[in-house]
Amino acid sequence: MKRHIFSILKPSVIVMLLFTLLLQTGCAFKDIDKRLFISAIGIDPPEKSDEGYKVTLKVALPFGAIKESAKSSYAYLTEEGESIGEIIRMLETHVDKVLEFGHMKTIVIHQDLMADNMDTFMDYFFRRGDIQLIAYVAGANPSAEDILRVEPQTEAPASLSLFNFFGDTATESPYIVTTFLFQFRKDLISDGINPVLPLVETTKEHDELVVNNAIVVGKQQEPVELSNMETKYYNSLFKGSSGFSYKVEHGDDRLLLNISRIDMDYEILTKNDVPKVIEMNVKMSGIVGESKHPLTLSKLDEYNQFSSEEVKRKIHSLLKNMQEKSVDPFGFGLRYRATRQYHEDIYRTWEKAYPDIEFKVNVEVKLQSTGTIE
Amino acid sequence: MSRFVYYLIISNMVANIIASVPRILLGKSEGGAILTMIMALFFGVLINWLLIRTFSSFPGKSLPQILDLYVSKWVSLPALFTLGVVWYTAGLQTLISYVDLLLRFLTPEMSVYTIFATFVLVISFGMVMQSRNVLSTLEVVFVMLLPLAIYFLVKIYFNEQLNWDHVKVAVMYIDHPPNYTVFAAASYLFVGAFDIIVFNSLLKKKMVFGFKQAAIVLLLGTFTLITTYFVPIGILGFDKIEDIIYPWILTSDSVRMKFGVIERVIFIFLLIFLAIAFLNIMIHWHVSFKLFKHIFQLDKLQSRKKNIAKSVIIVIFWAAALFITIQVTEYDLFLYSIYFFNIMPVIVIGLIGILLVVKRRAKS
Repeated sequence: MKRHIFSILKPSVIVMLLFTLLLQTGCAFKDIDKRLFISAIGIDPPEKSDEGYKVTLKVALPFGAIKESAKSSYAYLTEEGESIGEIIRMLETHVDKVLEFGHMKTIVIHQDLMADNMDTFMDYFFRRGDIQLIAYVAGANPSAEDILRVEPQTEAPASLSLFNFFGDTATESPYIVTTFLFQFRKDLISDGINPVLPLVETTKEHDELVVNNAIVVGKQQEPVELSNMETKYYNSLFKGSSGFSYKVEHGDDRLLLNISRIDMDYEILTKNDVPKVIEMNVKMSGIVGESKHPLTLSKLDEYNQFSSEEVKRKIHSLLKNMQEKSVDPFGFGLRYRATRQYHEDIYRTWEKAYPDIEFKVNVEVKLQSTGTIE
Repeated sequence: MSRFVYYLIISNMVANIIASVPRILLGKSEGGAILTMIMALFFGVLINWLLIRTFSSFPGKSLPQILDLYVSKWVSLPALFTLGVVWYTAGLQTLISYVDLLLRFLTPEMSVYTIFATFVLVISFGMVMQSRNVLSTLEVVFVMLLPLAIYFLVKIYFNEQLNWDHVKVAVMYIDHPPNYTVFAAASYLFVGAFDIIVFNSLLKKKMVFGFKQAAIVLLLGTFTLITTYFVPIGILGFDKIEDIIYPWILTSDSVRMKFGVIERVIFIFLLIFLAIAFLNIMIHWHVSFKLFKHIFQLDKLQSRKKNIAKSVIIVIFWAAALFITIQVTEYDLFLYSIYFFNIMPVIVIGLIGILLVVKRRAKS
């Protein structure tokens, strides 16, 4: 008889335990229709006061079926305040649902905010566990709010154009720099490198997004804007993007090279423990994509020659320009630290030497063919 | 050496990639971390060699059985009790770290009690299983998850965001003097094999620890230490890496699968390492459970002819774990982990000392 009681007791305890699960789910998880998914955050300088920020959230609105909606719909929330965290807490009171940051993938920052100590407001994003570190960071011109409010015509329902620009998932272009949040943090706090952010702009009619410039974020100085061409060269030399066109001019000739592979390495040469020269070797190979005049295969060497000269000149001017503005987006300083035994003055030595350093660039362009026609 | 010993070693190494070990190593990144890790590597192989060598004289016998035969109760009981507490703490340390992690990254809205309960219920079940089944569980989980873990590690090594310049900056600090805490934490990665103080009763074959086995342990250790230390530096940067509380979580959050089912690798990473940590806690507590059972002769503890030994120990384990999990802050956890790691080499050397004495007695 006793045995009988025990055999009932055991399953009933298990059933009771299972019932407690019902209690658990109720308080932990809020349903998906009780949440608002933030897709992008924009940060601007405030309009009403002198200090603080203006934060704009782009919220993706859910809809029943993709087929039913012709266009994706978004809501925008804007608020000003002293710190990012505070503003977002305030914004939580503007909506009836929970703000969910797990899918937030782009942080857009007004150009003017890149001047002074960015780490103060970026701290919020680094510190929060639920914001992904593989979110993209981008600069905005004219303002972050304007950029977020742009809804391009090419935007498909249930997607956001802003995401597709970066990370090589959709468009791939040497003009587009991709900077992830973790990468941005790394470059921001490391000595010897300056972070580079893509600059998102828009047309007058606010119906297109344009990303083809970049900004070098200065540490304790104004940011430096890179031109289209500089962005492209930076990207292909230091970010390994290739397969793109380089225009070279030689007298009356004008060639467009389609470069498929770029190898770059450099070395920092020192004299008496002071860095003096950066010697850079660049190897490119590709084909001719467009020409003003007919070409001959036998003259490939000649084309190689003047292409190399031209590319070399452009790389040199990019390096020189960055040096004059005293920023180092390439991480030369970091490389210097990485190749010398640590001592306390190592970085100071570099900082002192960088403005006077000399660049020696060797470029070797190897054209494989003139394309399908001569 | 039995393959299960390798599993034990690897599970301990992998589980500690996430918890407090990397933070301690990276905390001294501008100190002597690298030199210390090299020292710990050789120490780790040495203790494994000594352990397997001494245990190979007693095939199929666990430590309590060996001590019963050759040492008086006045020595064996305190020794076993200390080991029991240490193994319990080892499991507890991992448990708290993971409860913390889940709370921060996976289920931020869940109550700490729920997370704790889900962990502890499953672990307790594993704890009271027979040792043989524990080892089988270990093998099954390994076969299922290790390929994924390896895939993840390969992915991270070939990530173009892994900046080797930062790694090289870290290497440039190689001439700094070593540090004891780092040494203790790094050598903790190697104590996985010490679980055989209980599991040896199942390893009936005489074990050998020759050159080949030493090389394998050395390679595993080198790979684990290099990965634990240098990958976060390469991904997150060398400067201020010591400020990061869970370097490996942020590292895995920085890896993405461009066209994968899930873009954020962190969720896969957390699940894999969670499972391995589960195993690790289970094994530690199982060892501890067996030791306590032996010390208090709990087989004799009977109530209404039913053996209540299991229930008594489980309740004590739970109560202590719950109390400590709720009490400690992140800083406490870090501090206590350091204390724990600091005494670990002493315990290990003491244990090996006892084993050597026993081995000599057994011979004579």
